[in-house]
Amino acid sequence: MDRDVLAPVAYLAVEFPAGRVTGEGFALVHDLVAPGVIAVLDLEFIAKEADGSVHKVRLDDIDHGADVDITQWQGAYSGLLDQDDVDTVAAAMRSGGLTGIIVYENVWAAPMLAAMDANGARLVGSGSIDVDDLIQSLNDTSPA
Amino acid sequence: MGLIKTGIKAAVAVKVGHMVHDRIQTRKQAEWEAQGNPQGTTPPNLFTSTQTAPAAADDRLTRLAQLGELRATGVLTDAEFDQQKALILAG
Repeated sequence: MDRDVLAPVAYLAVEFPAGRVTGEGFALVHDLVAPGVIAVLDLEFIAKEADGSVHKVRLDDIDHGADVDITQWQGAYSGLLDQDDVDTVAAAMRSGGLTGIIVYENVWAAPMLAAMDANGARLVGSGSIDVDDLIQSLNDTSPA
Repeated sequence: MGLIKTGIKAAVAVKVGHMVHDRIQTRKQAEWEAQGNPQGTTPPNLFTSTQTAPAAADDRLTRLAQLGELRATGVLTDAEFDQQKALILAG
């Protein structure tokens, strides 16, 4: 990894409606770190209780399926999310749900950005595109 | 309505990698130790590419295999084999 360049950083929030972590989706993240595709900057979990209250959940306290090795996530927490973040995510959650939020760096882009920077080019925009907007644009720009 | 809504600036700072990575690592390490893990140990790596390390290991295995063939075919004596093997394992 080119340590001088910070590649674009994004997040994914995934809700587990039953309040427990299941499946191998998160495990696949490991396979993306090793070859330098992404770096995990932060991993946090938020629970929404039946009464609507929300709070962060420590990794050790997470209920998870037998197919999920929770120990491999130790050390991924860096505490970047504040109460506003918790509230924002919680607004989209169902009662009793558990949401994992992964903040990750798109490391794959770092060499590209470094090379362009070295050639005098500069990054002026970076962001994600909303799926609804994408479909809308497909509709709006479709040839008559 | 357009797709591009965020992230357009006069220039996006990209050369802050060192600062951001170091501060994230410091936080993770602090959390790691706060969880009761021994000081001096580090959390599982979810942060940096480990691509080069396995490649180096593979390379050593290849060289050891080649060395074994050289001894088996009589090109190297046992003493020469042991000497070269030690060098490869020492990396």
